[in-house]
Amino acid sequence: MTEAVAVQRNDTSPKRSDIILDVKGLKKFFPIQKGLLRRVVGYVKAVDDVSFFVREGETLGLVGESGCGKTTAGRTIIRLYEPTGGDVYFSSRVLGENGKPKMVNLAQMDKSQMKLIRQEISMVFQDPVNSLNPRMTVGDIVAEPMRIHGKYGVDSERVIISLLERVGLRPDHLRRYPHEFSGGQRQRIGIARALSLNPRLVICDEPVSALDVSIQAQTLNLLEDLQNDFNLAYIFVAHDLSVVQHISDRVAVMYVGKVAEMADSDELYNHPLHPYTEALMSAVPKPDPKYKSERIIMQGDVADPSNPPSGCYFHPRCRYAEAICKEKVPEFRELRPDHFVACHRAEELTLKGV
Amino acid sequence: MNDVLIDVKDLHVEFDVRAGIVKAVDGLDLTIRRGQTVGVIGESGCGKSVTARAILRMVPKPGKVTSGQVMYYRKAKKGKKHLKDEVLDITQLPPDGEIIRQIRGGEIGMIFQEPMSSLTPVYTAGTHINEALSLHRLIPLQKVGDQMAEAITTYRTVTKDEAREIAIDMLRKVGIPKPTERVDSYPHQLSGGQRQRVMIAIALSCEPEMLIADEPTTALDVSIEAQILDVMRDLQRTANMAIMFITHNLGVVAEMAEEMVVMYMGKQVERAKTVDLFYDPKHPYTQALLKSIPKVGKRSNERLATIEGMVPDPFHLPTGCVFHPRCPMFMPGKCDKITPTYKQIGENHWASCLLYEDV
Amino acid sequence: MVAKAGTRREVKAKQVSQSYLSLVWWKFKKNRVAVFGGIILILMYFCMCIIPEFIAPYDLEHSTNFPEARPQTIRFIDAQGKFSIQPFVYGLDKKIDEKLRKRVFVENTSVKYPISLFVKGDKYKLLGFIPGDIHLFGIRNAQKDQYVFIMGTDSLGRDFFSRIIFGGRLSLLIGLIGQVLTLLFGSVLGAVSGYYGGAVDMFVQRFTEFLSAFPDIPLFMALAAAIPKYWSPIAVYFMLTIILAFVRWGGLARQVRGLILSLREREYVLAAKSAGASDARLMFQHLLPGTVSHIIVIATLSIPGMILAETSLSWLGLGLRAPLTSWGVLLQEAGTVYAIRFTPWQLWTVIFILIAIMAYNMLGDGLRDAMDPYGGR
Repeated sequence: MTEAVAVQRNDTSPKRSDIILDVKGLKKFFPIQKGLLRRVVGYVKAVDDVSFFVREGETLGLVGESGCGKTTAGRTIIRLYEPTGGDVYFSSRVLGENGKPKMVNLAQMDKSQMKLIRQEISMVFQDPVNSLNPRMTVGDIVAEPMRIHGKYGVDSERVIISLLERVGLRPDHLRRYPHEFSGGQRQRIGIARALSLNPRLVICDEPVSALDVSIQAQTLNLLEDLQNDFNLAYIFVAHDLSVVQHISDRVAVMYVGKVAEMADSDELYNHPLHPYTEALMSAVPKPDPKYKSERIIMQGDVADPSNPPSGCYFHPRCRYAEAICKEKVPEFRELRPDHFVACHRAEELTLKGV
Repeated sequence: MNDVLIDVKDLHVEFDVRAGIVKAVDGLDLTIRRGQTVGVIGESGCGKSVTARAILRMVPKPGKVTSGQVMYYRKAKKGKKHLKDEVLDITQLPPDGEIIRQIRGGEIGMIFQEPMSSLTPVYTAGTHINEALSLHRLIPLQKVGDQMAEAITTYRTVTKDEAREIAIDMLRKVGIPKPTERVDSYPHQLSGGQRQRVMIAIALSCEPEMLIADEPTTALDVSIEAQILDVMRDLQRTANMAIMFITHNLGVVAEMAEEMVVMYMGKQVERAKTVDLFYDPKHPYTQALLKSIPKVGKRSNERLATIEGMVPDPFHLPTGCVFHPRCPMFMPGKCDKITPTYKQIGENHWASCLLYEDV
Repeated sequence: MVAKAGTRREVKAKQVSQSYLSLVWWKFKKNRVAVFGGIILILMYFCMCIIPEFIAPYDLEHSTNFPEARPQTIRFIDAQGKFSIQPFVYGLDKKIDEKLRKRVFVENTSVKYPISLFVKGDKYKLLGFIPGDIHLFGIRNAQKDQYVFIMGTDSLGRDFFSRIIFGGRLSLLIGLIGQVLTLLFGSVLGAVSGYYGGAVDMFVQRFTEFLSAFPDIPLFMALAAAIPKYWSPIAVYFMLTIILAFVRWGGLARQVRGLILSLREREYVLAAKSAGASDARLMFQHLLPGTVSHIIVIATLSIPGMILAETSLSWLGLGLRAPLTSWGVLLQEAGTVYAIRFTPWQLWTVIFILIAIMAYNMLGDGLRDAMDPYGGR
């Protein structure tokens, strides 16, 4: 049944064999409709030719300003949105034979196969209020993925209780309703739900941005512990650069639907290759009153994803922009080992990190 | 101390809600001098926003200032509309009177957070507060420039044309592209971030004596946040404006504030120069808070320090020191029995903790 | 280690787990007006739809020799000033009013009929199968021509109070049944339209717009006129409910569609979707329960409209017809100059309609407030 979707990956893919998710040229355009007949007059290019990969057991941070398409990218991977184009290769155990993972293309999959994959990829959402159904008990919420996949059995309640304990809740919370919990606890419930089917990849969509500082730290620690225990891979979507740096092994920076730069977390923060990354880093307020930073002010606003500029989307705001930047879309290439960047001048520029 | 601008003395604000009385602000003392930036930090529900509203005489219902004073040292200033020096207790002013309306916006400007749907902490005043703010929102069907000019002419003695010039200039400063065109656009034509920047521009263009900024940049992207912080700092330098900067983002206060106040459950737990507070925090809560944030640029594989447990239920506050159930330095028999006093423990350093008291 | 959520010295607040419904109930109970409305409605439905035969002192078609008798006053003190703890009414004497050239009934103060509770009277079958002959009140061991008419009689000498009670059965039920049908049409079509979108949505939306653009009364008239005259009253009754429901589901469908559209973007729905939930599961586990509270409120607030619609249709002679008795039919009988001039007590029906409608509105308002127990959204 999987012949059609099992694809031989070509050679340009990253060399490592432990890749769990490999996104290639992913696109998601939302049509803009106008008038009585809902004529399509244009597209919002929310995700526009995005490529990145995630290794087994690691965290890939996805950062960018609001509207850069990071959330849409996460949701398109798990097919909450139908991709407009591109491929999403996932190393699936469920579809593989005798326990061996097999690369399958999620973008091409039909609904029933995708449902099987959903056991291996789950999501944690941002809003601790809206992400739990107020009419279901905690037990039902956590059990829901099991029920959906027909895996709820006699001892499932025990499994759920141990899961709740694992994320720092008490067994007697099982029969409570979400509104009885604080934001941090609700986020734990959401995490327990995401883990209930033993996934291998969890897409965390701004999981801590609605939480208070101290609760944020608790939640980040919990996510790290769970990653170590269950060998989870995370895609960590967030706008807070310091949080992303803390939790991520590698970071991809997005700008107007494209990945500008992707590298190991320390490498990216200390030796950025893309001017956008540099500007973004300089803008982060540092929690250190003695630190005096030179701030790079980006001119203008983030480009409109329904009508992006020509060439490199960042060129109108870039202080290093040259003629070529206006004309040609830069290629996303591996400039240093494991350090990818989409900038024409990446080789010649020396940029400052944090 | 003739440069004192606002002096809050033993302020108590209570909210009488269904489930009981919440002491949102519980005995707060706070002095803000002219040209000074005071950062107020604390977790949601600690009373930092309510304090700001009390200073503006805008405590939302069912909240009430039950005791305490907010002294405002008013000074005559050129280009403004009132002409004599006086000292006012803001809590005693009629809430919709002429004086307070002149102060609000004109002499004490304010910027509030764009309301985010995700913020619904059950016990804070958040939902009520938003209602009280309608007067500081953009009006939907009026041009941005006209609204700005109106605000400017209300508080400053300038002509309409001058006001428009000021408006355009200020829009440019807060980083709105093409300000000469944008000044004639309607609010719905702007993005959420731009609307917030227009609000900030309005507050700043009235050249207030003091600016109360309550999480002004929380909903904005870092690059825009950086611009706005720069504008605020510039204005502070040129116009000798005081800023009360309320935030939960320690990075932002570290950049902005000279002095910092840390609040927890309606009480001020520590106050010090920002540098001292960051490098030598005295109160265990401050220490824990500082340790629990990830620092950009210094990646470590260490876990973040956390504050155990949760913010207590405001209807069932712990006895003694309210922080004791979460405190790593908890002293049994003391902290759960004796309420600490807020006292000076060093030069420009106050804290409210039994570690620094002889008990 | 993971931070323990419940820490060692955490102040333990008393916590009782409350489901959504218990929260709603708790908030609803605090609203006295709404509770009052609810109690009135329960009483009305219980008395008029379940045990009208018991409540009404006489059978619906029980004609007497006292046509157009005015209501008898219930008294405790008789003409001689004697007090009795048991209320009574005076007997009625026929008299010819010369001036009006009309037969009228006047109280005969020499005949007292004490009113008792739980008296034997006309035989009936409760709900069609429980036989009985006890009535809530009446005259014990009543002889011929001994009656109590607390709201007078109609032109055939039938006790008007009994007729209002029996009429309420149809009127109240038509509101309820009609609303149930509306809910069925409205919520299913609205939900489908909101969930699937596209062409289905387009069609449903245009159709509801078409329906709501149509003026009510002519549409009623056309549809009601289409009911064959030879149909049995019961068939007419059901047809009428269906017509009412058919005309009115559009508004509900739009509101449900709007709700579904907003709920669809909630993160908990996305969470279920990302876990692979089927359309049916999303619909019945996550989307529809979220709309139920709104639907109930909308329904409660629109039942009065249904009742009024039936009343006005019947009043126009397009709805129910005698021998079926509803409030609309009663009003139609009262709707002549003659009736208003000589038998104004027939307008008691209006009072009952008003009570029912106000009770529904009070209940509906209370429910609307209570259904949102988390305070705002």
